[in-house]
Amino acid sequence: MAGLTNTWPPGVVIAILMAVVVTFGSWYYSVVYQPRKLQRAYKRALYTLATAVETRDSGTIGHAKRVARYAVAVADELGIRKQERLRIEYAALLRDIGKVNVPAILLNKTTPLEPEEWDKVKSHSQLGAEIVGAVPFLSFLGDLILHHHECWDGSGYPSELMGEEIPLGSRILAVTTDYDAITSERPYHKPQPPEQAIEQIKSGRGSKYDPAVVDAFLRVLENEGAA
Amino acid sequence: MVGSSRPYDKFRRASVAVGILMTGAVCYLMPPDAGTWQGIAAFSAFTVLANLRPVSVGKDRVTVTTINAPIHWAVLVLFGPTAVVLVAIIAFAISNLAGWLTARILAGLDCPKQWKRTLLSALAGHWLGRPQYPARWVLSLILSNASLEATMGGCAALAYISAGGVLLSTGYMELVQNHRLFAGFFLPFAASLMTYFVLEEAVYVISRITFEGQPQDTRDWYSFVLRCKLLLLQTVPITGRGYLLLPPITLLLVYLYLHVGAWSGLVVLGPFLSFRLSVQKAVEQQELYLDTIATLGTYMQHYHPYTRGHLKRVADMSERLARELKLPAETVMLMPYAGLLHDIGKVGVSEEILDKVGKLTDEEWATIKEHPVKGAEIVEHMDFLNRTVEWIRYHHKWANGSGYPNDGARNGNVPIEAAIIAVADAFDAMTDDREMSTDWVCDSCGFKPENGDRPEQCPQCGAAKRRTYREPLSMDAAIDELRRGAGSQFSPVVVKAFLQMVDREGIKLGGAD
Repeated sequence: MAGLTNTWPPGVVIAILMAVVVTFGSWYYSVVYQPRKLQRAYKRALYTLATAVETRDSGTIGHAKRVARYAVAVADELGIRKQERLRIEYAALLRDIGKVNVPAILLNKTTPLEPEEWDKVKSHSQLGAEIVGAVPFLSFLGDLILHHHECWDGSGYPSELMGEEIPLGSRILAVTTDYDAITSERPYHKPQPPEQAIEQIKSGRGSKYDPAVVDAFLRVLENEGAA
Repeated sequence: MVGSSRPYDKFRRASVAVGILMTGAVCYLMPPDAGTWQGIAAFSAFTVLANLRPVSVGKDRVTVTTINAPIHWAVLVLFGPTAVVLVAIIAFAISNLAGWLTARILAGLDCPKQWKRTLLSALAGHWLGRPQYPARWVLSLILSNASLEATMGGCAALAYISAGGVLLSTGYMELVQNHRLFAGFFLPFAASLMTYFVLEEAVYVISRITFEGQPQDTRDWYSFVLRCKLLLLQTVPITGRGYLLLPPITLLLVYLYLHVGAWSGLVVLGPFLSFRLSVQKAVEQQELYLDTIATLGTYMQHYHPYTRGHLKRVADMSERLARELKLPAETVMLMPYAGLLHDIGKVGVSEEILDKVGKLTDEEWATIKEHPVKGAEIVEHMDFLNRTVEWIRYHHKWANGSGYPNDGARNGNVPIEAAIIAVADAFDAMTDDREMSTDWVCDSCGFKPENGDRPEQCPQCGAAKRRTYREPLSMDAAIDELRRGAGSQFSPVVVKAFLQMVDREGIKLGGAD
């Protein structure tokens, strides 16, 4: 303990202060600043790609973004952890990416689809999961995208999962997607007012949708209306 | 890193020779005294501790890095060349031998895999090889790598002394009393840092090049410089940031050593080192972003049956053309990404139009012509790819000003990168046997015959099979087509480069998927 005397040289204090500053600075850079910046970059890129796919599906521009916003709000309402919430948000953006392989003519058809055409449209969740699964750092979204058209009572596709077997994120996506689809314009229907959409969602509570998610979503809409 | 290629062995032998020469010379000229030995012991222990939690860096994850540089710098300003050379060798040998032994013992031990992994990453992480390596290899790996570290440290120390630096372990009080800290310490310290940085980068570049070898047909000066630059583009953003963060650690270590005592440095070293590692990881996340987004974009396009393989080939060909034209390293680096994403704008265009056999209506043409602009708009929103926006926007613009988009400003003045993509794209479109190179899949119902048939009509839904563009041309016919188009459709410079390249290397169509 060579230099440890009653009077510490002022430099030691400065040195320790500097250590604290540098340590905090690098912690901030690597744990807060850089991940935040990257997350923004990812969201921007994913959103742009989602929009590019949406242009095939006329009238759905902005759909992915709105669904992502609702899904995050519902996830918050359900108290879902931050990491999982981010996963749900990314999945909401990339959910319909499999539509790149669905002929645009089917997506925009105003008359009822033939069974094989319907199969083709249905294949988009599988394809979306495949595309995402092929990208190493996005493969964690695969199951949410694969199951986002499953129904609570097992009548959905592609795996006909029931109830809690469906990943929670997919259950959230099912409700929020449908709500936004009903309220926005599509080739095959006019936009419905929110009240009617809420009615439809409510009538699917427990059959098509997870009741807990529907309740959370209704609370989100209420809060939004109040704000 | 295991290299059995001969140039790499030469490099290793040379580095061992230089290391031994350096160590012998400094030990003979400046033999360490008792105080120096104490410092060597203390700082070697520091280094061994600092080596305990290394990270693998880089895209390939084979380069393992630790942060002993700030400790070595502290040694060189305190005690000079002899000490730093010895610390480098001693610490490196101890760390690696310990790592090798741990790996060996753990390999034969019967305990849960999770424990093994944790212990290995904590203790044996710095060891670059595998536990089953024979002792002779271990010795040669340790010798060569330790020699490199010793050489870098020794040269930096010599730079410090020759720039007028005073060894602080003996001359510190005098420096402070005479107010000569700037000329006697800070300036020479900066010089030694610069030396260390240059040597570190040089060693990285040379070892990568000798390890991987330079392809036979690209042994001219430009390819060599380009290769070095590409490697530096990968590493300098990471190591460069380290050089902002690490010198303060050195100053702190030196200060505490002089004022409080040798072991006080340990108190601050820990947090610093772990944060340095997390900063490094954060920088790498950024690199992963580029790959992730490009891969996603590529896979989205893949589902159009005709683009499989095409994108990869365009990317390869564009990169080769950029090299042939001796474009800057950054362009060469981004070219494959631009090649993969050049048609991303087509994702929004319906394939009824893209694959239509008959004549297109004006409206349909207008939709098709939008795809380069749409693609550019998509890429515009992707960070780190901003430079490629113009390349994608103008890849259907002709050299004579026709083509699309017709926005006037760029008539006859297409960026050369866009012209490169145009040539690569056109050549591949002309030669690719699109029908034969992919599985036969019905465009409307997705039916795929199991016996490999290629019917004119889909047996399941009866839809006629559409063809794109035309029958594939032979390579020669396609090259003729390019030659004819030079000056009107294609940039003459790029076509000339293409012909030269094909003359020398052949077509080399790689990458089926």
